[in-house]
Amino acid sequence: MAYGWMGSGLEVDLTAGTVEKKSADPKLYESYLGGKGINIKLFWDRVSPEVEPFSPENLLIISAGLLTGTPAPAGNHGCISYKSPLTKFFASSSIGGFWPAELRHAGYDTVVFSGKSPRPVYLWINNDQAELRDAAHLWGKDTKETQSLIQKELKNDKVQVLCIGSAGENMNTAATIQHGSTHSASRGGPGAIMGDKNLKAVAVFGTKDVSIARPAEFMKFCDIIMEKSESLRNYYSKKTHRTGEFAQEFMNWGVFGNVDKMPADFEHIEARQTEFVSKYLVREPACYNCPFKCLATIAHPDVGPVTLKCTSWWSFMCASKLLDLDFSVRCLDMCFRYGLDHLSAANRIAFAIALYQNGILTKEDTDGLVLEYGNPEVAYALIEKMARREGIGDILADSVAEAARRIGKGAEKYAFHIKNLEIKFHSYFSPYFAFTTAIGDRADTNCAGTGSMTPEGISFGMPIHEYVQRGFSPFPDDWEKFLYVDYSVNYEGLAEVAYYGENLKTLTDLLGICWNPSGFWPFTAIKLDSMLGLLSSATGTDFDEAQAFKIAARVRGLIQAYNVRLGLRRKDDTVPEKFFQQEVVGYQKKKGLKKLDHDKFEEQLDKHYQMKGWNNDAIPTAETLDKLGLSYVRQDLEKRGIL
Amino acid sequence: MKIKTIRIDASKCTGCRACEMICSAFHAEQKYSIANPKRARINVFKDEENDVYVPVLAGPYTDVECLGRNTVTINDKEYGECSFCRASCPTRVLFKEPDAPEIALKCDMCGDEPLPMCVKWCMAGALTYVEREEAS
Ligand code: SF4
Ligand code: SF4
Repeated sequence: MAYGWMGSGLEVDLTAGTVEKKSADPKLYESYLGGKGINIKLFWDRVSPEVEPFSPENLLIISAGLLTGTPAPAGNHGCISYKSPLTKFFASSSIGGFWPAELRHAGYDTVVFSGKSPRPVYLWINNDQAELRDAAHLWGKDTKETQSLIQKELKNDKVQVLCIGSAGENMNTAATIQHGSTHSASRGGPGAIMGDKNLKAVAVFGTKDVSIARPAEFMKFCDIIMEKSESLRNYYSKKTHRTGEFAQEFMNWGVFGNVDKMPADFEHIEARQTEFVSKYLVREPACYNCPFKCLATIAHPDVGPVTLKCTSWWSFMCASKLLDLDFSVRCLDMCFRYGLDHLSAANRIAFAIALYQNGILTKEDTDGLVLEYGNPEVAYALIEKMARREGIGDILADSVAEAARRIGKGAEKYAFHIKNLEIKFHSYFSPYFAFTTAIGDRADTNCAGTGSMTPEGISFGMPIHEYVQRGFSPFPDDWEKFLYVDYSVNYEGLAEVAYYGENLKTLTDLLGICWNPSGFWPFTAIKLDSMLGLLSSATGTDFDEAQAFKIAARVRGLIQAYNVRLGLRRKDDTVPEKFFQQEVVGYQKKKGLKKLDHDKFEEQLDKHYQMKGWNNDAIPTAETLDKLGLSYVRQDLEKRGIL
Repeated sequence: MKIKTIRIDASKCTGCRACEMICSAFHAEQKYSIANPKRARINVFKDEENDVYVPVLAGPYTDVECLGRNTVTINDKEYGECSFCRASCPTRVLFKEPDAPEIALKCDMCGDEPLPMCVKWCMAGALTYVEREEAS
């Protein structure tokens, strides 16, 4: 097999209970590289658009990235794709930790699950041996317990496990697939697909080599990255968890759409988080072969150790308008154990409280629970009810959009989502944030959606020039004209920045490089030229920016074409109407934010589609598809009368 | 005699396994042509649930398993027998070539490298290199 790839995949038919090893077509790799690229190609070929998310015909595909398991720092990600029970479109969720690299060491790039098992099972991959095993004794167990039970059962503590908890078993559309103490494939409901398929877990152990074609050259790029990491690694932890500096920004920016202003004490969030962390932080763990430390293990006397990441610190405090870090950590521990996406879960809680406060839900609907802000018990109860689908939790388990339809009485006004995926607690009044989220391939800005084509800081009006000067901006260095712009208020240039960002983001997904150090923050250690160098020297085939971005555009175009067949159009590439209509208040107003300008937003959208070679209704044109090597897609769209 | 030592500060370890990865890559037949932590001469013992992370460097090969076994208790949790042991021994698979278990893997301090590779790649500072003179 060619360098860089393992060359084989596993085909798991859950209905028949069979597992088969298959060698992959080298052309597939050349045209789609890895991760999300492989997933969408297999999906296009095998899952017709009519297939329902909860049906045996829906596939769950897990692919490691092309550089996953190589010495490339932060090359540890995999991509899990499926038709989402939440958005009803093709969706991908990204996962880091140690599982994807272990899959490659077991000798595989991809695992495809089809069908539906008649009873709970888990897949055990041990190098060349792979088998489905009974999981009746694991059903109902939380995700942490499940992992340690499997490791004990297999008598191997190096086995890496992906699994679901109660939320997935009960097919909550916010169900995640969990791994380790905190890693997850979260947004879009991948855990619900596993639950529907009666697949409790996927365990893997491998002892094979991952090979590099031009090792000396490859290591040179690793060294560049390691060198940059050295000066940046403390930045991450300082900003995200050590000082709560980002908390100050994040927490005060329009919360899940339902909360416009945080209580006055939130002005002290930075100090409070700093104090909490200095008291309880015991470790800053990392994913496989990653020099950074974006995670934080909190050992609290009552809960813990719990390992937190990224913005998870703040979601429940926002939803409950409650400045209490202890509360936040408890909520997250529950989410990790139940396998529940904290962003959707917190959004659903904010939605339920808003309905109650506005008289749309009453005590009769909530099993006597008074849904109010500032009360930690409300969140604890709702998380549990959602995971178990009990009472009001059963309605909320389907999504805020679906719940609003079922509840009626004007509940729709309080349901904040994009393409059915609950929005996160950022301000969509920021044109940059709203725009990039609207056009992403998964309607949000967390790791797998191309909506996260940040640097995130840009949407907060952070000064980027400092990073440009130090060589830590993910964008080309001659891009000052875009980077000095404060996109929390400006529109001009959004189309271009988003175009470049989306290509870059897609490429990291194909390579399995974590997005955090390669573009998510405005202090990038893994720049595009390093990624191209790693890609070329790993495979032995030279790729320049144009070639790599062409593959990224191919993958993005194919995803779009798949979803266009399901009715996705320009009208869907937007954010909730509130952000275009309502005057800005509180902290956001102080920061100079304004309600979104419809015309300017649409103008950028026109431009952006044009750059991508899509028509103004978000459909890739025949010419573009041919150019991207997707003539088979063009023919299909023509046959269906879409083109 | 110059003694080469790696000091391990387990409290600083992030559990990233970069040390295992780079050790395997460095010792590949063609340097850095492969990565495979199961061929490393260092192993990071991890119990995330209990926040225990302990890097262990491969020590000498022994052809008989040891008779005296010990347990270690950390934060009220007991760890058995071999968790922190450095030996490549008949009882376990650790510190052996995965495809050729008769070949033991032993840390060689990366030969003549100015800095052991695992130390170089350990950004967290959990591994540091110390040289000292000792009368032979
Ligand atoms: S490289 Fe350092 S921090 Fe990472 S696992 Fe090894 S000893 Fe721990
Ligand atoms: S010093 Fe060298 S041989 Fe020893 S564990 Fe570290 S990398 Fe491996």
